[in-house]
Amino acid sequence: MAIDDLAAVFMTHRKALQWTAQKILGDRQAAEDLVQDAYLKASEAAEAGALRNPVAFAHQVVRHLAIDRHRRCALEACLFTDEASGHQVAATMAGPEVQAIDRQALAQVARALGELPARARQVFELYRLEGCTQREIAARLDISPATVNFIIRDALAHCRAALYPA
Amino acid sequence: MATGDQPAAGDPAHQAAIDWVLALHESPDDAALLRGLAAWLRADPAHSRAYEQARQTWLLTGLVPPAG
Repeated sequence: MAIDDLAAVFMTHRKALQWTAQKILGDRQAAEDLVQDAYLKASEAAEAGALRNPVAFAHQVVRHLAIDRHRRCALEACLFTDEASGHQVAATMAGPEVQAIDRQALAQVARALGELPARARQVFELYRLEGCTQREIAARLDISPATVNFIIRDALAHCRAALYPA
Repeated sequence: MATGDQPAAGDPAHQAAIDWVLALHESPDDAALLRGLAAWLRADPAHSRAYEQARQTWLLTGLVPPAG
């Protein structure tokens, strides 16, 4: 459905999307590559449901992929620069094939999020997708910060268990 | 999957891994936090596997279109 929309969005907003990635990655070529990758991921994710705002969604996917990549690089650098034992740990980190995001995993996570109670889903989206702080969410929904924190951890645990059944 | 290589579902490593992911989200530029995570990963191969799952879960939740 929204796939054609999404292709048009990635074409029309290419520069803006690359800039979103470049601000996070600090590297122009890496940003260009990431936006290509983001288009494929976004297309797969869009199959899961209707997109009300394809432009915002494109930026969401680029931003979250870029942050993940940036964070992984920083962690790997940290592991490698520390003692020799770091090498062994780094070697156990997932290779590219494990990091591949398939449509099945996206569907599983979408389903797991859909299983959450409405309030939990709302809290998690404010935190994960709208970038609100836990304190802001607590104030906005008039619940305690401890409850917000519990809901977020519980939502992630639920999604993880759905993705990686024992 | 229940081979003993995988941390069990109720394994505290999973909750700890989720807490590391959340801590990095809250304080993305905290070098000491990153070193703390590296030390935790080094302590036990099960930690690395748990962290990898938590990181991937966090990423995937960021790629799902908003519901409302």
